[in-house]
Amino acid sequence: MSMTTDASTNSAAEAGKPGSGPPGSPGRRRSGSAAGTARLASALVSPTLLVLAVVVMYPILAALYQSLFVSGQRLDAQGFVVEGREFVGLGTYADILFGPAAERFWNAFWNTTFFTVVTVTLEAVLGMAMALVMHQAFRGRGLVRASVLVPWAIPTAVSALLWRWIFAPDGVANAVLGHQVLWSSQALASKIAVITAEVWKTAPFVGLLVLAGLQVISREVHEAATVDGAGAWRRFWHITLPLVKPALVVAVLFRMLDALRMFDLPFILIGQQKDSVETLSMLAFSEATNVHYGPAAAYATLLFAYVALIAFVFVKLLGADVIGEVRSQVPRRGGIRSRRGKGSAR
Amino acid sequence: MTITARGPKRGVTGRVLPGKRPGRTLAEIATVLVAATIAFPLYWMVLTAFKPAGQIQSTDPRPWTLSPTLENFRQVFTVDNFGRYFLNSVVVAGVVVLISLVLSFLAAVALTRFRFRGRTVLLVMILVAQMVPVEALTIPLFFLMRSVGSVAPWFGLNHLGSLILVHLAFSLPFAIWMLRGFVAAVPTELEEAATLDGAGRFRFTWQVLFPLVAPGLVAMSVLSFIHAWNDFLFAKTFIISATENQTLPLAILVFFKPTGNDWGAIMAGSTLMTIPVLVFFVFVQRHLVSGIAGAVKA
Repeated sequence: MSMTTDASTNSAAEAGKPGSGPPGSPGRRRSGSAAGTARLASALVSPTLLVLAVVVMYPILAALYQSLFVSGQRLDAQGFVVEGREFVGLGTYADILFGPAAERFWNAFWNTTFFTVVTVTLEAVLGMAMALVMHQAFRGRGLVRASVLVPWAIPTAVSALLWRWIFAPDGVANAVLGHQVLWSSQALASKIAVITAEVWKTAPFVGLLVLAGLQVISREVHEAATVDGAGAWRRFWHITLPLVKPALVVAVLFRMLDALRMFDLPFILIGQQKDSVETLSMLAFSEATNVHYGPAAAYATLLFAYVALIAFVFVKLLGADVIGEVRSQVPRRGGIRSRRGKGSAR
Repeated sequence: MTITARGPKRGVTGRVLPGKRPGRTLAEIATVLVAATIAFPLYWMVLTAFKPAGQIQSTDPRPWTLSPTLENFRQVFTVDNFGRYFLNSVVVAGVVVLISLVLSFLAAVALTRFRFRGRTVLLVMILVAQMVPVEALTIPLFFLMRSVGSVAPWFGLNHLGSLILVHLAFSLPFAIWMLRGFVAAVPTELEEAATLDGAGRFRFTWQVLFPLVAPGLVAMSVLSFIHAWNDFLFAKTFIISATENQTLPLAILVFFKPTGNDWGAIMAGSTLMTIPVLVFFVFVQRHLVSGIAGAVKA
């Protein structure tokens, strides 16, 4: 349960209830209409579920099934060419993890992990810094805030093209550095190019989410701490950071889910089948376009499992109470009380 | 709730403390520097779009041009069907926004205000849908759309419906998660009061809940719009032969040539592609921050 200080969580039964009311509100529409509620709720959710089932669930299940087969032309044990599909069970996975395809898979796996760790860390730090700056009151703040968010609003394909142009051999990046760097072919340089473009594009988004979190911290807390003699650094470390933590955790979680699936930025910025930047999504795509449906489906399944695992571990470790957060929340003026409750509960 | 909408502003206007001048100036300088760093690549894009052909590929690129030209833009507009591509992109993004607005609102209401068995399971399922690597699943989706096309041609390959369906599915999970906070922030007393006044559940939902959740809907619609407008991969995969149904990013691809890319036209096309997003963004920017604040607060 995410809230420790709030009176509305006075009983376990109440706590599990959607939008559970403020203290003292009586249980509503409980008896009699429970079946009606369920029916209405399922009517409201079913269009969404239908769309998700068709476009998200079916393909992942199809991929899971397909990954158990190999297809296309190959030689059988007697040296004859065979066509069509053959059931291989987990053979494709074994090939990917330990066999002939292992090198390319692990390379893509580490690229994906490296990009995710580096970009999300940079985005969290820079986004936090940007939010702190944007939170200050000064003239033209609205304009600055809007302009800082523009990269995020720009289509990924466009920003990838833009950075490809900047990192071109005769582009402005080399001119500014005064040094010829082959961004698209040197391993480290191309990684740096992808990371720069990704951080440029999404740090503002993290900044926006953190800014939103900062804006609900009441000024009195900071004033009280100042009166008590706490310096700026201490105030940041002991007040601001714990209070924006829920916002930051949610931002980082969603950013991680996106970064692990990174595709079009390296695809357009650097190109296909470059070892230095090939991510798991790109690997699956490239195998599928080469009509290796079995391996492609296996890569997609492994990536999905990896993303789900990371999300699960992250939620467990950092106590991002993503489900309970809304369940227990109660609107109140001084947002600080419920915030503190959330920050301390883990 | 009004609290949601007003909370952030209150925090901001009361920011200026006496005796904090030096810090403020520092923050202003830092902000301008940050904004300039962020803006530079964009400036470079627009600049390249306006540069004459001779100045674009040069060993000594200059951060200005003395002879701006519209030639690159003219090049983009001469691409066959450019207007059509643009319209297609607008239709796809617009329809995705409208449908996801309705569907995510209904789902968020059901998942937040109704208590029923399996609610948590549904929520987790929707979060898991957000984790599916869609780019890696392009090919199963391609086959799916091919079979869908034989039943419902409008949603099949080569039709805008396939793009709409796909983007709808990708924007719904995050939208629902975001809206949940807003719906939950509306006090239950309001619903009780409305019921006492004789308003049924539907009237309450549309006349009370919907307007109160509006900031969240605005923020959500920006995200959906950007998502659908951004798309490159699915447009490239699903729209194979029907060139009249292609979307904007594919128009820019024309300028990538084996003989050397026409960066002036590519940047002009990119600039044109960015403008609608920016216009939409400027209109809703104010609501966007308070909108996301509401979601985070929740």
